[in-house]
Formats: sequence, structure tokens, C-alpha cells
Amino acid sequence: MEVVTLPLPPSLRSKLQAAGYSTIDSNVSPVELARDVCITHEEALGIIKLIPTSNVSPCGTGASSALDFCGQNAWDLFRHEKAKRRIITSCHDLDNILGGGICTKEVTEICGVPGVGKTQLGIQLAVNVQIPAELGGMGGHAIYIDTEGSFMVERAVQMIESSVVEIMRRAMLDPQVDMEALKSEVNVDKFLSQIYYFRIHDVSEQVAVINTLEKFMIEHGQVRLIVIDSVTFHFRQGFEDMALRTRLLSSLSLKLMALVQKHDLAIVLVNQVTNKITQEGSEVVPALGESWSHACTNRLILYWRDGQRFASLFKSPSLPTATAAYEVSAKGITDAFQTYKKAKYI
Amino acid sequence: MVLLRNLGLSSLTPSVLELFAAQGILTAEDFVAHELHKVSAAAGQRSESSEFKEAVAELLSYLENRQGGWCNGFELSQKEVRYLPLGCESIDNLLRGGMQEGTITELVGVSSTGKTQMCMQAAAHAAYKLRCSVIYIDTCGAFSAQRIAHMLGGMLGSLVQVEEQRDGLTLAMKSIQRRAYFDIFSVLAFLQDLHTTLQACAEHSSLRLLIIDSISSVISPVLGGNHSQGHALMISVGQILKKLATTYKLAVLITNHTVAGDGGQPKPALGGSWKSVPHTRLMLSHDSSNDVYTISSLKHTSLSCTKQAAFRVGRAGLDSVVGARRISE
Repeated sequence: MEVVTLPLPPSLRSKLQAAGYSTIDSNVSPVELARDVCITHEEALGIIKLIPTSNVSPCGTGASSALDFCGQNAWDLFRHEKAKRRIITSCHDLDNILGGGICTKEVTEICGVPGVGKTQLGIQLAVNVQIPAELGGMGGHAIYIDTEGSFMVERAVQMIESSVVEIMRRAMLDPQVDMEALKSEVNVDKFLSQIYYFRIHDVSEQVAVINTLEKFMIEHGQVRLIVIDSVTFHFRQGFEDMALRTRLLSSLSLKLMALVQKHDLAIVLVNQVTNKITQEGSEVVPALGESWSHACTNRLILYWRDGQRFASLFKSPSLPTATAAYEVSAKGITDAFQTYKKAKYI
Repeated sequence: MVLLRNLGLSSLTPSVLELFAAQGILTAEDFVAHELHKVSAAAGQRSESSEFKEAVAELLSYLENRQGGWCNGFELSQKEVRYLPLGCESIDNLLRGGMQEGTITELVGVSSTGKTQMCMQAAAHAAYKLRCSVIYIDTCGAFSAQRIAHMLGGMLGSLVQVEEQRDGLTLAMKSIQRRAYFDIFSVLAFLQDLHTTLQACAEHSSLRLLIIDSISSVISPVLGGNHSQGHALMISVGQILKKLATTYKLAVLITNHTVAGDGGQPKPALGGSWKSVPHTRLMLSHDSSNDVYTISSLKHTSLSCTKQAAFRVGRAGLDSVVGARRISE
């Protein structure tokens, strides 16, 4: 193993290299290493632990799987994916183009012009993730990371109220649901207390909160959704060094991806839009540039056309590009009016 | 790079090693880099001179034996070159049969131009049609087994056939190994691990395709700034990928994203020193007006880079489009 490829602090790395260890073997003895490099035994042990030991089983007998790694194969993943649950958006057409809703284990980005309903959709999802499991929901909690101060608790209460009414109405139809138990679970106060709200004021706070999410997740295992509204705001101002911004953003997105895989949750990122000047004039594109567009697994673009709100699934590894109309009403996100009802597939 | 005392040469006695260490020679590479007469001069003043000469001779012969030998052009031309097709006619035609085994193919393109779709298509085709195993390193959470299943279904056509071939399809799905890594160190550790494993059982291995989607998302967080460490890591990834590809005749497929180049035109990310890593570099683009994806080669070791191919992404995988031309032409 090359020493440069190990996650070591620079001081240790240069000590190793000075002692002739530009490559290192996992069967080197820690005593010998400590003596050669002039480091403590603890440090030497730490280094040796970083070296991957080949834990691969001897060759299998199967013709197609001589290499049997402990990782997951596509067949196992396929069965997992089928069982994956989705967070509904409360708009049927939108759910359809998303394959049933916002998917767990994926990072979804929502972009759009101001006022088109990005925050509304974010709050709606934070409410819908709490729909109890016996009624087809996920029964999870939500984390809401607010960087712009646009989260309105009064609005959340409105959405929760209409959501509670809807849940109760569906529960009435289902004779197997225990109404008394449900009432203690599904009420405005309970729902509100299950949205964990972080207010972020600058870039360093944003990076810090994302770094500590892992710990927060361990304490609050019920969390199934994290909304970051918006991921953009603090990154669009006060950055002299654009390369640093790109590095920060890309490491941020990798951390989020690792988080969704590990904890079986969905992450929704809200992004702003910007004007991109081209030879033909200008077009509205998602902010944060080209590198960031690779950071999300799915990208949903919200826009206005002829006085109607539309959502367009622009990027998805497993679903086709499609557009659906939706509406924002007092109840929250709802189906569009009759004239636009039909989902249009491009 | 090996420490001299770990070489196992009999003439390298502790006293000789001490002599070398005094000159700052700890490894075989240090020995090569040093001027021999200076070391000898230092050794001449001491009593172990004959012992030292013996050690130098043995070291030199050891180093000579390390080189891998040579062969001539004719012999090279007799070696079998295998191609791994992607199962999409227009792309395979463009590449004269597919990805060449033993080389690295890179897909470059802006967001949502079909890079991941091409990777999954390659994986599904290799696993089902060629019955080989595939390792898919997923660094951006984009691998979808459901999508692979659709593609496999598409290769058969009708539902009846899918029922008949159920076992074959399951086997194909099982031979695609997916690994999710979100930092460069774990990717490097895995590649190193793969190297050691293949060393032990290369003959039995049915592994022919290694996919990394995407390499740039793990490299870009460490690249740049005032530290050279990120750059060193990137080069290490390139080195080990090349080693894996050539030693075990693997087709390696990686994806890279783009950054804004001159005049806002997208250009491949990761800069000039990464450019030498892939043998073949393919640029993807998407025309949303007719939903046609275009692929053209930016770099190829044996083909000219003027041609391009077109395809569509359908439910059942990539369909080749014949005769579609870009408007700009």
C-alpha cells in the first residue's frame, strides 16, 4: 500500500517517507515500525490499522462469481429497492413522475425561481414523512435545516392540520386501525415536535451542522427526512476563492450521500436558480454551477408556465424525464386544477 | 519500494545496512538514485570493503532481474485483443467492438447526459450476455438495481422469455457487485484489496469489467488548494487503475464530470494530469429537443476521433439511433 494513499496527518506521512516507508505492508510489526520511524507504538498501531487487509474469501466454485466480495450484488439490492418506501408529495401527478414520491437512500434536489413553491414542498415533505406506517406512510421524523429563515411555523401548522384531517379520514375507512392510539400519535403538537429545526446563519455553521448530522442521527434514529432549505444561500455570497467553494460543496455532497446510504433516509436539497448568459441570450439554470449538478441523484425543477406551476424531473438514474402540474393551496401542495390534470411525458 | 533489509539478500548484513543507512540509503529506490562511487568511497575508508562490494554486486543483479523482459512488435501483434461490447449497436460500432480490455475508458459529460445509464448498460450487458462478473463502484448513489433489471428484461424482449430465463437473469444480477464509497481513501483501499485478491486467484476470476461512477466526485473534494496531497491521491488512483487494467485484462469504465472551459464550453474536469490516465475518452451530450444522446471520442489510442454515434435512453436500455445528425453539423 502506498503511504500517500493512507488517510494520515502530513507530519506522520513525511516521517514515514523519510524513514524509507513509501509503501507499507499490512504484516509489518508495530514495534519495528515505531523504532524505524521514531514514533510511539500507539501511532504505529494506528497506521497499521489503516492498511486494508485482504479479507476476501478464497475463490468460489460458482462459474460466474469467482470473486465473492462481501459487498452487495445487484440481485440483493433489487429486492431491497422493491421494499423501499417513498415520501408522498400530496400531489398525485408529482408522485407519479417520481415513481411514488421522494425516495429514501437518495439525494433529491429541488430548484426553481423564487415563489414557485420550493419551501412549501419542503415543509410538506417534512409533514408527510410523519404519516403513520399503518396508513402507508413512513412514520418518521424530519430535520429541517433553514439557511434563509423562510420556514414559517404558522404555515407548517396549517399543513399539519389539513394532513391530520386527511389521515383521520383515511383511518376511518380502515377498520383495522385503532383510532384511540392513532389520535395520540397524530395531532398537531406531536407532528410539530417531530420536526427538528436548525437555523443556520453562515457557511461555517452550515458545514458544521452537516458534519454533526451523523451524531444527531444516532441520537434520533427515527429521522427519515432531512430538508436543507436552501443549500445555496450562504454559498452565493462572500466567496473570493471559487475553487474552495467547489471543494467545500463537493465534500458536502459526498457526506450527505454517505449519510443517506447509512441511515436509510431521504435528503431534499433546495437550490436557487441563476441566469446563465449564453450566445443566444440568457437562460435560467440551477445555481452553484456545473460541478454541483452532479452532486444530487435526482433533480426536480419547479417553474411557472401560463400561470400554472409545473415540476419537471430533470435527472434521475432510474426514472424517465417527465413533467407534472401541481398547485400550492392553503392545505399545502395539492393536485393541479382539472385543465392541467394529465401528466405530460416528454 | 522495499526496505533493503526486507529484500532477503544474504550479503546485506547488518553492518552493510548500517553503512548504507549512513548514506541515507534505506530502500532499493534510494540505492538506484545514489551515485555509487560516492558510496564506495565512503565504504573504502572502512574495513568491510569486500563485504560491501559483494552487497553492491548482489543488489545490482537483483535489480536487473526485476525488469520484466521484452518482446518484439510481431509478438505483440499476435496477442489477442478482446473487446467488451456495451450492447448498443451505434456505440459499439464507434468503438469498433466496444471497450478494449486492459484499457481505461472514460465517459465525460455534463449532468444528465446518460453517463450513468451507459455504465449500467455496460454492466447489465457484460453480466448477462458475456456471463462475466462486474464490479460497480458507486460514489454518487446513482446505482439502481431496478434499472439494471429493466435493462436485462429489455435484452430478452417478451415477458414469456423473461419467465423462461429467470434463473439466467438472477445469476446475471448476482454477478454485478456494487460497492458504495464516498471518500477517496476507501476507494483506494478497495482497489488495492482487489489487486491483492486478483493476484491470488486471477485464473479463476471471471471479472472482466470494473466501473467507477463517478471518479470525479471523490477526487474533486481533495483536489486543489495549496496542498499537493490531493494531487498525489489522484495520481495514485490513476496508477492503480492502470495496473489493474493491464495486469488482469480488465475493461475499466469511469465517469468524469465537466467544468466550464473557454467560452463557457464544458470541458472534462480534473485537469491536465488526469488526461493521461484514460486510454479512451468519450464525450456525451444530450439534445433535449429530440431526446437524442450523442457520443463522440475526444481521445482514443487506436481510432480517429472524428466520428460520433447517437443513442436514445429507453425503458429497456440504450437504443442506437442511426442517421441522426447534430444540428451544428
